[in-house]
Amino acid sequence: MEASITLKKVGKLIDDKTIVAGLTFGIERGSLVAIIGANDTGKSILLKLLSGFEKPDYGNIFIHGFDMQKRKKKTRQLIGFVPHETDLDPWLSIEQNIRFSSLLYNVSDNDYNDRLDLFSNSLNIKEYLGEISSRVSYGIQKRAMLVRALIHNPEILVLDEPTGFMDAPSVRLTWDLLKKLKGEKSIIYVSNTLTEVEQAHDRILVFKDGKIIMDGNLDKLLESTLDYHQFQIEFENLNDELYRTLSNITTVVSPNKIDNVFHFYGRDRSVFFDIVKAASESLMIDLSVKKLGLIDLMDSEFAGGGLD
Amino acid sequence: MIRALLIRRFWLLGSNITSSVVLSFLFPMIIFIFINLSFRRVLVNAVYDIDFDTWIYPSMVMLVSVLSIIPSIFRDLFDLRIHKKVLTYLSLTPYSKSFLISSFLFVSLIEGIIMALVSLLLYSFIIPYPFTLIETLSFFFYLSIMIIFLGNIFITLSILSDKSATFFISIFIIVFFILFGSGLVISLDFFPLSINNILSIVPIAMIVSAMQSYLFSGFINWTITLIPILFSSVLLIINSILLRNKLRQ
Repeated sequence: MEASITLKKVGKLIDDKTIVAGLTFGIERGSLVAIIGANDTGKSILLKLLSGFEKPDYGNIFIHGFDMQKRKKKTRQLIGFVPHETDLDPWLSIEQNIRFSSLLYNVSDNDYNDRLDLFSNSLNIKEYLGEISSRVSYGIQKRAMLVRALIHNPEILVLDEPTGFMDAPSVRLTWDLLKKLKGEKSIIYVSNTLTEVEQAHDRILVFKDGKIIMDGNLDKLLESTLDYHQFQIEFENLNDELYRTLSNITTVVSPNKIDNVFHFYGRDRSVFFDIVKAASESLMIDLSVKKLGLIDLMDSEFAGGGLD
Repeated sequence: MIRALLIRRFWLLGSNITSSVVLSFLFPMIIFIFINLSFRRVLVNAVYDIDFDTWIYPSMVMLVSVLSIIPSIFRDLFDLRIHKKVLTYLSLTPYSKSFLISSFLFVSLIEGIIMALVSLLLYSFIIPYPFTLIETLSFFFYLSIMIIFLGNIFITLSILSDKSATFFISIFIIVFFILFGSGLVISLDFFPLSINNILSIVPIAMIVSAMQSYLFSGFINWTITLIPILFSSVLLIINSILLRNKLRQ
């Protein structure tokens, strides 16, 4: 598949601290790529580099084959960027903000009207178009920013927390639109809402200390969890002695407790019977077993320490 | 981009139409009261035997015009920059930083000229208009140079300042200089010779001197006309570099 974005040994330093460390990877055209990772790992800086918001200290970024530093005019036309914080002009209306963007990109009046109509309907912000942007909620501003980013019909969308500040219906509308656009546009986004990432991705890049430590779709990423399951057992009384006993069972991995709930990982469900044996004199109130997801994968203790 | 910025400026004025109109008329009147009426008493002897109203007329219009460009530059390049709004988005559009700065300057120029026309209209009801059409056109030529030069200075301050106190104190110093050290209101001949020599090589004073030279004696001094234009061009390049560095682009 043809590359939409290619990074070659891209690095970024801020105050001599390495934020992005020699990244090399490509993103296919029309794909939906999620970037996840703990806070302050360089995800947003990576997005800023991809959008042209900041320039790399070394390495090259190619957008549709054009070097971003050498062909700024060409590459910037191809990108629509939505930053995390709202950056609309606070004294202009929502529509004026979007119109301003269309004027900057020389969008024709017909195209502007068609796209405004299409995207403002899709994101349900039509009734707010006449409102001064600083007087509407952040969630509406964020949706307006997405319309603004789409108004010049970019081929690449770079989104920092695309559903940030939004309520549940707005989140659904936003993902409905983005999933429709996938295929036609390459979409790269950063999100801390891992349930959203699980639902919306072709590929997930896991970022840590300025490097990509995992890369692939959800199934591929979860292969590294080696069929582990997450167990939660609620006891009537989980005292320290019982907790120590259960934690010492060899098949129990990464145990911890919250009140009377014993939480641990295990490779197969038979571990549950080891627990039942060890805690035969204690009353169990509730039990849940689930396959590991992204949240577990990203859990710092789990990801950092590993299971084996 | 220029069209987009002009339309945006129009929208912003429209969203505060009442205060915009009131201030557009009030500001020239304030300048008239504090510059014309007060200095008429201080400067008892008109300079070079030129009638005081004639001397002060272009100065008042120029003051109104150049001071009126400060709010929009402050807003676009300082306020919205430190609050990470609009300017950062503008910087991602497919235009160079020098074009971005030039566009802001062009919008300021249009705004300054409109304010000059408003003040000319207002003053024409109060004092007789002393200049011919050619002189008026030449005045607007020098006014444009002044707006571009000071616009560049205001942009430099907006980019370099990270705190509003720094910006406003710097602006205060410059306004003070325009009022009293540029020859716009008080002729530089009133200063001791050594100070006069220093002040007269400042580009702002050069523009004022070149304008007064043509308006009051019909002599075009190309040297002091071209030097500020050259300074403005250099400042434009410096501002483009400063903006690029500030935005880390």
